[in-house]
Amino acid sequence: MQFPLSFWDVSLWLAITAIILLITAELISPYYGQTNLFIEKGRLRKVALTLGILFLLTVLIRIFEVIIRT
Amino acid sequence: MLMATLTLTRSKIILTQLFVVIVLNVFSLHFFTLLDHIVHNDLYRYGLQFNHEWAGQYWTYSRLIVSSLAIVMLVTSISMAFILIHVRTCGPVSRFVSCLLLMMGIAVTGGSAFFFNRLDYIIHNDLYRYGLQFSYEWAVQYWTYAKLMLGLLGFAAASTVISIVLILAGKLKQEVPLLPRARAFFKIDPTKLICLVLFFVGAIALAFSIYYTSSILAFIGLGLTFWGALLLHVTPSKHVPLELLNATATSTLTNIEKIITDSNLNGKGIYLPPKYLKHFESSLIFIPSKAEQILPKPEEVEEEKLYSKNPDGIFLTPPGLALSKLFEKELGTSFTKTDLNHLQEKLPKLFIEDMEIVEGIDIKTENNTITIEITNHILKDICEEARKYQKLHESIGCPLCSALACALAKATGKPITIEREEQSQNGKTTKIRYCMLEE
Repeated sequence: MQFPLSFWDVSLWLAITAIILLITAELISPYYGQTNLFIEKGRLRKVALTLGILFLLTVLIRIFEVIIRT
Repeated sequence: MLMATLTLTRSKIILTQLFVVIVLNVFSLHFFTLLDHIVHNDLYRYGLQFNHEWAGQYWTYSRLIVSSLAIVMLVTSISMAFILIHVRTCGPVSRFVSCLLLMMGIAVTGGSAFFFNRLDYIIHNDLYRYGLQFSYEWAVQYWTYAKLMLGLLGFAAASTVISIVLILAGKLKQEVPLLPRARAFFKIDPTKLICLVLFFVGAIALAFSIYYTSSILAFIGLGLTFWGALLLHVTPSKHVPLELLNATATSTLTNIEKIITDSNLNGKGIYLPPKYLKHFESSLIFIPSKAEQILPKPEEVEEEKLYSKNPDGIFLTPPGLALSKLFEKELGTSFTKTDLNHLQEKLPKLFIEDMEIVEGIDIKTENNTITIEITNHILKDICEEARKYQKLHESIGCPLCSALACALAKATGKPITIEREEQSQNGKTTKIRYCMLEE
């Protein structure tokens, strides 16, 4: 028994989810007049940013691995 | 009352028991998989030869057992939902359906025990014809798992029977008044329910993905778990319709208008800065009786007092005070600790992004005049209502203008008056001009 997704599968998932959430967070921003949507937009933006940062971290790990190999 | 409390307690016991039934079935399933592992791995080390003749039968019974256990869990979960409905409605239909489902669950549990018995017969009879040698090494392990599985199934069936008895012992709607607490306890928030279902289905899919090493299940599980948790996180805890807010504010405005008219006050309301007040974090308006803006001396100002003799006028609590305090709370700082530049910088983010009360805000300062232009604010209806009260509108302004005046008085440390409040022709933009008075 082992987790079937590799590190890069998770990284890809993070990237796609982060992009979806970042675009959503931007589109529903009150700056575009979306003041009638009943969700915590601040929290959504924070989650989107966290996922984006996590994805960037996975990229950094990849770069670090490449540097160590060479 | 006592009867209603008993009904609530009984329902809690039934639900707990049914939850235990589901857990027992999960453990039975686990022990069955361990037993299956013995047959498909260990027995080959004791001379067993694979043959489709015994394997076909074995797999059929094995699938039937797993399916039966899954059906029992599903049926019990649905029955729990009907019990929740029964607690709320005390109707006969939900009681009948939940009992019927539970009885079906007992029958299927019996079926799974029967299928296991058939499977056990294959192992203890047929497999010896395919080279299996008896040994206590595998047999003891096998018997332990088999006994554990059947024992748990027995417990689950007994627990279900007790639940049925408890449900049938309950009263119907006409016999028992429902406690408000009972309603609150079993009140289901559909949004939260959907989020939790997504989350738990995702978690189960993740667990199965690890068990079956399936990347598709892992992606599904990861997605469902994440979106379930995210939706739960971004769902606002409470929201109030704007109409309700407008309705609660109107009476206060009427009272202020009455006081101003009755006191025959002709001056513009002056929002006093903190240095005039005993409580620095509070706000007060002084409305002079004459048009000349004569400020009272700080020692004359008393927040508890309504009428002032020197100069003649009244002290009122601004209609936007609570709103301005809410702004301070959101900003995390008091306006008394800020200045006009800080306000110019922070207010747009606060109003547009954090509180979402306006679509746009522009603050301009020129000598002693501060002009604030607001686009599409949500307090439009209250401000519209305030405009109907002429005196109030001229001297104090609408609650939003008043809240901004409170903030400005605190930030600048100077007395503030609302010079003019204009609305654009399409009603979208409100332009408020404030004046800082020289003392």
